[in-house]
Amino acid sequence: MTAGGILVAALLTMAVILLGLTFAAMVRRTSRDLLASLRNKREARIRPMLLSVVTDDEPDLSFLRTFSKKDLRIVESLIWGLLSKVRGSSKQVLVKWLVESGAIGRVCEQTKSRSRVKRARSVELLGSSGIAETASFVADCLHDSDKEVRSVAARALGKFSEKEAVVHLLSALTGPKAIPRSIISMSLLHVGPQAIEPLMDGLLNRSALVRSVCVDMLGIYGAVKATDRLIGCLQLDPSMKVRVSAAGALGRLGSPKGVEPLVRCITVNAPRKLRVAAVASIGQIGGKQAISWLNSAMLDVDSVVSAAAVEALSKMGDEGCIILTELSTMDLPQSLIANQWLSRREINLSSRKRSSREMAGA
Amino acid sequence: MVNVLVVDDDPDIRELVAFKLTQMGHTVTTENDGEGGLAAAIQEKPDLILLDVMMPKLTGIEVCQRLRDDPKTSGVPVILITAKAQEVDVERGFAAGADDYIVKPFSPRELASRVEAVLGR
Amino acid sequence: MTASWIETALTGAHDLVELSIETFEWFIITYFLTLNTIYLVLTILAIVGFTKHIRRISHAGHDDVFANPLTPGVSIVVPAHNEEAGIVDSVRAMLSLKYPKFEVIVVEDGSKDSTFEQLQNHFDLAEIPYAPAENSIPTVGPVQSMHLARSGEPLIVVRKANGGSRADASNAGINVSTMPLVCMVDADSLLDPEALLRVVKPFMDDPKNVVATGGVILPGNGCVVDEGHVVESRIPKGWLARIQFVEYLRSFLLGRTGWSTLKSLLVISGAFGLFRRDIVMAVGGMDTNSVGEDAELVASIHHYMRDRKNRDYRVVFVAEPVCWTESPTDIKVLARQRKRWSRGLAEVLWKHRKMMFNPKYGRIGMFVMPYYLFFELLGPVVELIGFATVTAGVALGLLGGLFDQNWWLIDQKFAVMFGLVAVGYSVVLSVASLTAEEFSFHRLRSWRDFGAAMAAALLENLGYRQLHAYWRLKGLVSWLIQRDSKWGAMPRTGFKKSDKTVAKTTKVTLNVS
Repeated sequence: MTAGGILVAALLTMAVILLGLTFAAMVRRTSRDLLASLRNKREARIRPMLLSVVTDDEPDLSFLRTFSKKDLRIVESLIWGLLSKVRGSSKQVLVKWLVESGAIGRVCEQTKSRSRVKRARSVELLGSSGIAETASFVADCLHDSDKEVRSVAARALGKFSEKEAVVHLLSALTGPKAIPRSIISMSLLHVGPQAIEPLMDGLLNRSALVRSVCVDMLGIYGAVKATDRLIGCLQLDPSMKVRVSAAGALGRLGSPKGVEPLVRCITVNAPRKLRVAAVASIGQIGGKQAISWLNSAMLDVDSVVSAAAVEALSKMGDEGCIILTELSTMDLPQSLIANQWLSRREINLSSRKRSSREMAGA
Repeated sequence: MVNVLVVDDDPDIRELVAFKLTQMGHTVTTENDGEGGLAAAIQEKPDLILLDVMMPKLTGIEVCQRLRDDPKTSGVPVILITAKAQEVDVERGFAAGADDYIVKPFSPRELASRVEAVLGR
Repeated sequence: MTASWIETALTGAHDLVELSIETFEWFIITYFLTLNTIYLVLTILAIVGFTKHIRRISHAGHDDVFANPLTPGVSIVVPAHNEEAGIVDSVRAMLSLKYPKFEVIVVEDGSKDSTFEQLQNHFDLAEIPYAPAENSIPTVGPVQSMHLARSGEPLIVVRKANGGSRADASNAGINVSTMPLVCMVDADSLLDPEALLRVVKPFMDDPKNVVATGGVILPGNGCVVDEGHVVESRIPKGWLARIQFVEYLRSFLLGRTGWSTLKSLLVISGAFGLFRRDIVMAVGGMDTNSVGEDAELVASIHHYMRDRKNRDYRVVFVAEPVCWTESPTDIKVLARQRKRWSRGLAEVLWKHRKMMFNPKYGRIGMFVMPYYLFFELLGPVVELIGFATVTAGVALGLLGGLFDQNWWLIDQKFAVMFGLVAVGYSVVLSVASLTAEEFSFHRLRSWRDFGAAMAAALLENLGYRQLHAYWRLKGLVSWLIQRDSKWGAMPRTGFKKSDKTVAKTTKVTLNVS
């Protein structure tokens, strides 16, 4: 082949590719527009029917039996979409339909599909359905080979609001197929108050990460009955991560029992993170003892700790302010910070006063 | 016959609520964001407003606040629609002048009873 | 005797010239072939990476990020210099972003107009004492005052004297931020309401390793804007803006996604970038001596992390739109912008030259920086010489044909090959990026927009790129002449609210890849 021939061939190939790409784009546009408009027409017809039945006092979906296959596909996708938005008898009737039509069975099967996108989608759908019998399929996917599928499964499992889910979720925190902490925590939050017992059991777990997550979640749940156990974690746990979490959790729980153990953390030898968390929590719990300890913490050598103490004091009412006003008059590095927090507090108060005045006036 | 205004950016919730209210015998208008809702409230003077809290641009609480600030709309009963695990919003909502609230996921029965309770007051 | 000697000398010289022309031709062809093949590889990687991403959007769990009490807070830092026209709208839009925990920090950087007064009036600002923390980044222009919004919004305004660079203002904002993540945003950027949810997600999926994220930025000219939010995206009206639209699509959507899949992302745009605050503080904040301070920050982060033998860190690009920015509609402004970007690139590469070809710095040092050096920085030289030579050669040859003379200095086959490799290949890539966009986000609603985009893809390679190469060359030359950058303030006009569409100059620093 001559050089000229190669050039011509190259030119032609390029032209062909160009045309091909343009053609592909145009075809895709047209087909998508067409399919979308067809689908929209069907949906526009079916949706109002479905929604009005769902909102009935005694919803009855038997009329769907007369629908065509294509229509039923639309119905199914609409129902999946509605599942997470309704509860009570409306949800029950939707779930019943999905089970009877075999849709649930199909989706459960798809959690074992070879395509990871299909697995992830089916797990997500099962999570939104909240049907207790399907929880095991979702739990299985916690150990899926694909990271994304595992994350979706973790997120979905919490929506089943089952105690048993907690153990599975906690065990997914460690190991080669570990799932990020933030996802597990969010899922644990979805489970609801029945998670508190298993979370307290989790405080004895071998892994520091698991213990730390349990501590955090108990704080977020406001599980006051766990206060003593958390104090124990604060004082005795070998992992600093867990102790810092415990310090934070005690603040969220707000029990005055926590003040003294927290105060004992504000020793000079403790790491900064722990001391800052303790200071903030003491501020959250409040009370006379808290104020007096924060008074000394605000003169701490570590500027980050003292700044945290100043911030905490600014949120503790008039007594805290008196202390800060005094501090602001002294010539210390913390004085400037105290001054700033006092100003902030003033601004917040005046803005709240104004809005309540507006409401009273209206 | 009561005029109800439903303001929610989620089309599913909006329509479900609208259907239920229509079933109960009320006339329903819908808006899909806070600003549209405010404008509709001033223009149409509904007898009851259902407001979603989590909306872009103008949240339900802000809308409620402004409704209370404006003498033309300050007397209209408002029911907030809030998602589970957003109790802070409920407190703020009452502080802003809401009369009651319903929680998503949506329960038609709960909606019916709340609406009747609020209209009865 | 002398005659044959002169003859040999002339033949020798002639051969030499021919040889050098041939080598030169081969060099040019190889350059363009390599460049476009790199683009091709990036495009393919991007399309793969990005198809995966799109299929995942349905189960991305953004709502969970929103409702999670453990979602990290974000401090949005907005440097503002002479932004009176649009600052209130911008800030209002930012305050209504869909995110559970954030604060907006506006740094009013010695404006000569009423930027501060506008903010003060609209948000009812009250001054509070400024109390710098111990480890603050030193700023060139000192902070003068700090203000909170009495209206209760999470807004902080910091007033400072102008320090001669945008980086200085950013640093002042970072100093005041309290949240673990900082987001650098341009004052005139239009943000997607879910922007933060999208760019924070990688941090939540991989909290130990992700240090910085960026998203897709598109020109907002021609978009329908309502209250600072883009309601409908359309292709801009002017051809210059349209060409930039195609350019952004190719460079951001495909280029950066491609680099990101190779774990080699070097640039996150200054118009919207999210970083871990502790890491930004550790590298000393943004460089006030650089006009490419956004690229410099990412390069510094790579430098820093690898110096600490950390191989697992990640800079992630989220292949979803987060931000619309103004692209210049005036060619002079565009030229200045690209010249500045090129200069910024030179500064960054020079400052971090230690990483170049150094295996200690992994892919960034061995592949990415050399790529930017040879193809982005020095490339314009080759491109311009190539185009100039071929155009002149073809013109001369054709002219000669008119007079029945052979004035072809360059090989005709070479000219055709050049056309293929330099122009044709590029056109194919531009069209490929448009097709990829069609299959993925399909943002261009109307057929007219689609047609305009295709036409722009063609035009981009027939004139614009050559001009662009010239501007980039000027930037390089300016850096060579004067190493030290004195950043002059960019003239900023405001949002044009008249017909709800946007038109303004931009200061996005973007390196086309």
